[in-house]
Amino acid sequence: MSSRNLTSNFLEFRNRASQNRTNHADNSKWDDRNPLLNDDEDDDVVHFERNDAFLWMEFHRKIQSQFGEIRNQIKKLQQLQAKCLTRQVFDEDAHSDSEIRLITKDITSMLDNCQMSVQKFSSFAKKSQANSYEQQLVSNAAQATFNTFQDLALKFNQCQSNYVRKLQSQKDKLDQVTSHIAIDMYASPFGDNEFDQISLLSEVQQQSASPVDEYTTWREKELRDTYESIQEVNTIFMNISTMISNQKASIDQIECVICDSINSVEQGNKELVKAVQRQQRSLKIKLILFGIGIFILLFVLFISYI
Amino acid sequence: MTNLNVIEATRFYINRMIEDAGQSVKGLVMDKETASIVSMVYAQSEILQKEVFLFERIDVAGQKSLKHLTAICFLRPTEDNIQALVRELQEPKYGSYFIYFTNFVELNDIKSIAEADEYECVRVIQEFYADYVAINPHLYSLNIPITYENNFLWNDQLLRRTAQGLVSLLLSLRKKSATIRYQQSSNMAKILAERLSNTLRRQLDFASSNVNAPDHTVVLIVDRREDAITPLLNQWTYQAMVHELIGIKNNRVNLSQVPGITKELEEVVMNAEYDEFYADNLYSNFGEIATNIKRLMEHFQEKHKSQSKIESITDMKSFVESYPQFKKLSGTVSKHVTIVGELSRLVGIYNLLDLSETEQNLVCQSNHSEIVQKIKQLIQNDKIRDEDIVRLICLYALRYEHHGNNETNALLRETLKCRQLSEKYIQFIQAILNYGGRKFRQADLFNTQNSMAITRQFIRGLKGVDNVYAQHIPLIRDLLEQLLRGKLKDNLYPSVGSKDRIQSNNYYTTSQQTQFQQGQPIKYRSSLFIIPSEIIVYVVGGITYEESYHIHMMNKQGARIVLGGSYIHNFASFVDEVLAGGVPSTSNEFFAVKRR
Repeated sequence: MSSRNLTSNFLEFRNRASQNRTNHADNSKWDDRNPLLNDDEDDDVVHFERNDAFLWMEFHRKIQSQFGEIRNQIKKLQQLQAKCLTRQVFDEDAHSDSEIRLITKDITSMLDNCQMSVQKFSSFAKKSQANSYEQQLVSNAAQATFNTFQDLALKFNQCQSNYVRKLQSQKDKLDQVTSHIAIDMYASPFGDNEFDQISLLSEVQQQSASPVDEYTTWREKELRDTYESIQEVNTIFMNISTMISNQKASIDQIECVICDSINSVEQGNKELVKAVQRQQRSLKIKLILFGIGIFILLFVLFISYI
Repeated sequence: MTNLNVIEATRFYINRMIEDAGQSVKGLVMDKETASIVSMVYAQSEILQKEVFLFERIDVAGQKSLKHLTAICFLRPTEDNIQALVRELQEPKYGSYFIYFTNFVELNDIKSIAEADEYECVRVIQEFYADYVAINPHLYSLNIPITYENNFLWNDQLLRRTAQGLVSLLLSLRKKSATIRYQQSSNMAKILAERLSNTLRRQLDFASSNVNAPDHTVVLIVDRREDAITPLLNQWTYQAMVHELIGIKNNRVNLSQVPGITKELEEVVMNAEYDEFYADNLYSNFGEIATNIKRLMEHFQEKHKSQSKIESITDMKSFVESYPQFKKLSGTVSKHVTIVGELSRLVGIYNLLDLSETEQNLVCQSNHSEIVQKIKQLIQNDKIRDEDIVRLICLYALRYEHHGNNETNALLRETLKCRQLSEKYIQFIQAILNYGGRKFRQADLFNTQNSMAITRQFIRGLKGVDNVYAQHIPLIRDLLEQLLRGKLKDNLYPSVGSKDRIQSNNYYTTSQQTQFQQGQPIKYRSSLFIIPSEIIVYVVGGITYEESYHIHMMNKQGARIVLGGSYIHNFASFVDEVLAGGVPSTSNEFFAVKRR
């Protein structure tokens, strides 16, 4: 990349300048005539500001580390999911399934915590700070953390939904394949006629034994589905709440601005009323003076006539 | 080799600046010009993600201390900035400073900064050469609205700024050598080319390009006065049209004059890097835009309908996932629908279709009497704006400058009979011939000067045109096509230092080969049609979006060209530019007309 680094020249100049400064230093400051303590009021104010500033920076740093952890967990989740998808179809690995569920729960709880801290940060940003710079700074930081949080939540959602979709498509494919195999299994290898009876019997037996098992498996599946859907609903509502709180910030700002403008318009109205009254008064006074002047003039003329 | 991309180059520098400053919370301190430079290539949300939370101007005094922040100062090396920086460092607001200048800075200035840095807050001083405004990947500008001074001379400061901008462009594109060619007939171009070459050689030991090298870059400096027609025409491609009718400044469009505009759409940002629809339709013409916008609206309505049907949990999930994108899409759609609506409204009330057809016929075809009749008709038409009539008269004046029945004065008289032209426009009409007339130009602008050109024009006329509004091809395209084929004449566009250079670094046409063979020893390749691999163009006096469109087309066919100018003109800014060059004070019929 084309650039030129002038730092070394700069440092040389700076060292030389600081040496010159110390050589020609004015020692009057360290005279015995100067008081020990300075009556400078600014120090207190600066001290107070610094605490506040460090507070929000601490906040910011904590939230960033939380984001980092979440990112790592999401990466791990993605790896596990990829492994699950590419494993053998009939190899029901309960272990990795439970791991996936564990990590998903972890990430959900971490996102919950994150959301609370982000909301706390946003409300802290709305409190008025020491000066306009700090205000803008903190609100920009809050906005940035909010956006990052939204992106992370979105990424997590997409990751999950992709996984579910792929799993679903795999299951569908598997179902198609097994249904074919089922037919073949029941077809006898020696032709249909002779062994029909036996095969029919065995089918009937199978059908009578299956209802109980079927019922339990179906119930289990339903329960699992309900559990997962409730979890999904939870994450959805969390995301909706972040979106709404995002809009809330701007609505609050609008309300604030409107209140301010109401105040200033009322004040302006009062001032205008006062100005109008003053103008009227001055007009009245002018008229009176003018009238008196004319009267005096007439009087003088009258006297001079006489 | 990747294509030349000035936006990437600028972003690269800014990314580097932000990375170098470390993980702390950062604030970006800029001056007025660098603020435009940064805002053109980086969206605020993106830069916020990189932990840059505060944006300040160095010339606006701030008050309290922000010692827990790191400052990234991105400044132009001007006197004022150095003074402001010195003042800042004497009472530093930030905890540490990383200073980046956009161009060469004198050692004296570094010394003064060093002396002011008592608290040793400065960590780094570097030169990052991003001293120009990148608009599109192949388009840059220096944001200098008026380049010319009276009698078309250079203002010293502007000359320095221009040279600096060009140097930084070359360095940011990592060029180590280049041949600089300039337009012979323009004194300003010659001065700039020599200044540029001297600066490069002095500061960087920039070698002049070895013509035999495979990556041969040519820097071509031309003057706007060579082609005064292009800024006078009405445009029909999206970016150009918006600029012509509404005005784009630093990628911002001010829509406050649009009737019935909502508050949030009063000022919109049109940036091709962040807006997919805009990027796809930058160069499509008005008809295509209408179709594309209709498609976009249908797409949006579909999405909206699917959003409203939320019954199952999967629906809710997909809604939540796609909501942020949906919101962004709705913002984009409303912005473009408003802009296109406004454009079509303006086209309707100002009768621009009729007008533009007349303009194009005037410039590209040669039916003199017919065109005069048409212009007279349009003058009488109340719907046409004054400035469009002025356009037509200027185009006529330039086209039929030496025609036997030159009717410019007659047309002007008629105009003044029916309309009240402002003083500025009258002066402009007087000034345009001085600016871009035959006396100054060396190029054959209307294809009337030699037989080859006339036959080419004739054949083009016979073939017919597929789009009557896009007949005009700007001169710069012809020049660049000649240059790409190796046929750009050396006597019209010489390269810097060609007179006293003896080695093979020059480029000669076949006709001049014999001349020089007798004088000096020359090594040149046997095939003299040397084609530059990259071309960087700078137009003194500004460019237009129409030219940018043509360059984009050429780049799509495999050329590597970067176009730039002092400013991107529309008609209004062009009028100011021409008037700055000086109005001729000769008394002529125009004055007589006025006095009536």
